[in-house]
Amino acid sequence: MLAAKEKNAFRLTATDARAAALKLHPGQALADARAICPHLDVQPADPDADRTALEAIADWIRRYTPLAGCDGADGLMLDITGCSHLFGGEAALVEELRTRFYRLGFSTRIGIAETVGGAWAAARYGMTPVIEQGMLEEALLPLSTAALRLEAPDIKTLQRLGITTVSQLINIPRAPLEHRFRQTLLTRIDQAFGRQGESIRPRLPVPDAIAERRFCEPAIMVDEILACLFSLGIHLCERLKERGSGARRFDLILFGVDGKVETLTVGTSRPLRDPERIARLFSEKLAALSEIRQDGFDTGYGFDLIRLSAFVLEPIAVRQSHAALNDNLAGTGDGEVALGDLADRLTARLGREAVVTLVPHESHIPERANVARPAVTALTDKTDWSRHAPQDTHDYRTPLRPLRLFATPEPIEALAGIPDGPPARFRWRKILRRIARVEGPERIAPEWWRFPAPIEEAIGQQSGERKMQPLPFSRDYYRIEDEAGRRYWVYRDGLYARETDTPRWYMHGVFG
Amino acid sequence: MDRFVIQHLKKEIGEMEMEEKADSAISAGSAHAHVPLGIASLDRSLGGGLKCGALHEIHGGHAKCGASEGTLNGAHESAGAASAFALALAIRLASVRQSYRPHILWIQDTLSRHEAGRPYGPGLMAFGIDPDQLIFVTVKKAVHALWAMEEGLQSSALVAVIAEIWGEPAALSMDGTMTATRRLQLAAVKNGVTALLVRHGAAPTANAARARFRVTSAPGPPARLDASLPLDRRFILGLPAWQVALERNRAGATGRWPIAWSPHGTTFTDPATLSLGVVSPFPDRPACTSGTERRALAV
Repeated sequence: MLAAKEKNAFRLTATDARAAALKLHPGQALADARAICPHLDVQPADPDADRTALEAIADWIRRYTPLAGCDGADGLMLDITGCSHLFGGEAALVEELRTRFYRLGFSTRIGIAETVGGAWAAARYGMTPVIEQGMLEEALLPLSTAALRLEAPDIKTLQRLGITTVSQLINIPRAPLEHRFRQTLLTRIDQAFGRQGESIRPRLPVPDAIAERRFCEPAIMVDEILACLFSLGIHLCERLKERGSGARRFDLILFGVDGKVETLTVGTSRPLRDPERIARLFSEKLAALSEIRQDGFDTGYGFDLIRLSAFVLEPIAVRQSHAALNDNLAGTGDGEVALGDLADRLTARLGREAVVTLVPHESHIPERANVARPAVTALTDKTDWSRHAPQDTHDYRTPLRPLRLFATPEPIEALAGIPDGPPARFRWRKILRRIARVEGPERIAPEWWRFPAPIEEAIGQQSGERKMQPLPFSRDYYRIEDEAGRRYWVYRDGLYARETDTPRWYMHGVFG
Repeated sequence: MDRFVIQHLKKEIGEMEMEEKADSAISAGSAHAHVPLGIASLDRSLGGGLKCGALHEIHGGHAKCGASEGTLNGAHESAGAASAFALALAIRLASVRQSYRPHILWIQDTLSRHEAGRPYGPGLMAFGIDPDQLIFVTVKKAVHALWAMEEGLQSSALVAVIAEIWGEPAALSMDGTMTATRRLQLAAVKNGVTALLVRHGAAPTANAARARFRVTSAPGPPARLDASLPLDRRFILGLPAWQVALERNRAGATGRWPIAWSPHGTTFTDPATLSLGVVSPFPDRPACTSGTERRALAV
């Protein structure tokens, strides 16, 4: 049994069947329980671990339907509309779930009904797990009011009024009920009886199309999984073709016989509907996983259900061959397709953040002028870099911006002839460099509008400890060439005498 | 009348087919052709220019025999020059291909990225390439860089793959065999994509590359120093320039060349030809060309 600290006392939070036989119940003080039965086996409750376990089970139970979500702290809710026949009917489904959960070490209560509320009541308070179509009212009426998912204070109030069963409750006229109780009570009644719709909130997004295969003998070999993946891909792509679309994201969900669920996700830079390409992306992903886990991708006891789901459907235009030719000449078409494929494969293996394109950003602060975006999402975006294009032909000058920028500017020791002049020599990475030629300064002021004005600082101090980020200094950038011809982009942080008396120098980038 | 129309259409179709053939011939031919770099003697040594669809190696800094420790310490000194030269080669290859906008894959291992900085969009644009045409890949290990490189070499969307590898990882040497570089060379030949392997702080070893360049920074060619111009138009630093040594060359002789890169024309030039004579010291008058004699009159 489990106990936790609640309202300044250790109280029981969960009891098993044997404890229940001793009339111990959740909410009871631990001291009282110990008085009844001195040798209780008490474990501290761990709600976070419970939650994690429940979510893992919710993932696993998606093998029956993708529309599955957690219900409260101890329940799961599935929409099995139109899929119970796959498991031999509802009674057989209940039996299968019960045995599977038993093997996993859980005791379960299962209910099936035509409404969410009905199923909840059947699972927790019902006599039989399955409430047949049309029998809902009959099944619910004799149950206790708690079966309607009412709030605890409401149940207590109803008890004081002598109302304990559902049939008593629904015989009361609605107007006084509404007056006496909150709206939720009526809502709960209506939801249970199907007068008001209620949907299940799935824990994970529901795919737009799925294809799956069950195995009598669990699949253990990675090759087996890949072969199956390919045939699933063919099925899925047929379905996508019917809709005239392709998907930007695919999930491969592997349901283990031991309840373990592995989900692999690949994203694509453009809508995809090609089983071979899908299979290839997943094999890259599997290869990447086996590298991380050293001893290869662990298939455990094997997988008995493999599902391929497609998300984010986008239309694919069917192009005629002549149009394709024109596209080729115009510079789109096959080249773009091949590029997307390459980006997808690299991303599947190396991760989203490892494969990027650069996107310009409207800012004159050098390090903010470009942003790295994952290639899978940004490849098709059009960008305009023309602002930074090289100047006219007869400028035999070095580019204004360096080819490479350091992630964080590196401090250097610079010696300048005059405090606000260019440096004469400097030490970077322990080596002293003499400067042969200098271009500059190029003054770059901070973006003052991104920082609060000084006047607000005073107000901020009054209102509390809200720490203000100070306005950065202006920078004077110099393009410099040392005696060996290496070119650097360095800056003095702070205007001498105006912003600081001891400006510091930084190395920000290197030219080619 | 009808015959005339049909004849006309036939002629049009014929023309279209010819165009298509010519286009495919260009793309098939250029895949393995040599792209002239713009410096006559260097092009001659390379057998007509940089060979497309082949592996080329670019080392940074001065060659130091043996002690790899020593070369690594100075690697960041020349990393900028070596990678810039590799990028310039790739831009040159891309600019020659006219039919569509080719892309370049730029792979870096994390050490190169950290030690030598990450590619900077505005800087790339100023160097002569639209950052749109580049895809950047960061990898943790050299094995992944080689894998990504091979993937890139198989893609028809690319004109070149640049990979920067720091130090001397085991994946590249493979117990002294040339397996890794030979794979790259084969993939490059097969699909006509050019592979540029940039090695920072590595001692040269035998490998399957067609050529090995060694690049060191060089003081830029003289730039305009024109006192009559406003201050911000008085250029002091010239074009990007390097001292390039062709240390190993399967196509011909080795040698050393001073090379400058012109971002605007996306071409290499000999810095010596960029002397001040090209630019007029007097902004309002044409440069003094040979044949016309300048006359002055003083009163």
